[in-house]
Amino acid sequence: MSVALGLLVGLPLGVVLHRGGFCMHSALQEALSRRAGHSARAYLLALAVQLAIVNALAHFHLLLVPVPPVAGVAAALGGMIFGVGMVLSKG
Amino acid sequence: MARGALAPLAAWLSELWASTPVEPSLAALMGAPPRLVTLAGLAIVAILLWRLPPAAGESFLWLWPVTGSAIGLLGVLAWVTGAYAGWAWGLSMAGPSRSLLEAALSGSAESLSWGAVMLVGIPVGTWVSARLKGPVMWHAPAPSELPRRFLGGLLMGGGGTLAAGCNIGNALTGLSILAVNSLIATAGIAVGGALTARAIGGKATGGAGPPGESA
Repeated sequence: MSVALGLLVGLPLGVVLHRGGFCMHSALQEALSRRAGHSARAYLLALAVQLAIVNALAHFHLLLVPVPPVAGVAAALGGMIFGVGMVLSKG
Repeated sequence: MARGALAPLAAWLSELWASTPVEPSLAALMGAPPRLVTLAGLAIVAILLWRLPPAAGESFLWLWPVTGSAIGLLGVLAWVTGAYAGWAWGLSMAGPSRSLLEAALSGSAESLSWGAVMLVGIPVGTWVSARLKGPVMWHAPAPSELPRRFLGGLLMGGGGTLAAGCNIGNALTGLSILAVNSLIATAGIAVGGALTARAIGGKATGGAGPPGESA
């Protein structure tokens, strides 16, 4: 039951999101209004940590990284629709 | 691949650019070694961090260096354990939501994926975290806000499926592997969000909901 490994990520992630008050919607609002906040900075740091480690693992062939194909119109349109929804639902 | 009622629309939109295939990786697209592009990405992130106004502390929350490194490390763990469990992507919400729904509808334990299990773990972890701090209280949005939130949720589901990922899946996980598709989707999310925030003005600038209300 290797799928149970999902709990290894999900459970601590729930704790971190709660204790850190992390929210991607807040991060966007912070960046837009140039308002001081923790979510935008936490997001950028999380991205940096993943960028460095995941690419290092891939570089040394310790992890196979599947890069999805580019569907530009769908990605741009879907992203914009998602962005509208994210702000409407404050999610 | 998209499934369901809107699958033909998603497939049609996906094929709009298929006639001119684009390199899926930013490094390949730029013809540069991945480690150089990774370093450039890290530099851009560092500059953005430096340019942001200093974060004001909310005493009951973790500071951003703690939260950010924890999410980043969990994102790495997601890639590693997910790969082991046959889940070919890192941290995400939209994909796991769909997987969980499919597993619930089909009712078979075999269709339960790493992503679906991870997703179930999040509210459990949040509940435990809240419980350790004291009695758990449920916060619900005001009834007058429910239609807007519902519409927002629908748009997030549809948009996230079309863009092959949500804000976490694209802006965090996809960008970390230098995926061109995620770069386009992330720009789309920022544009759509910015336009909406401007359109509805002060109503949505309240920012975060209660702690634990995650993206």
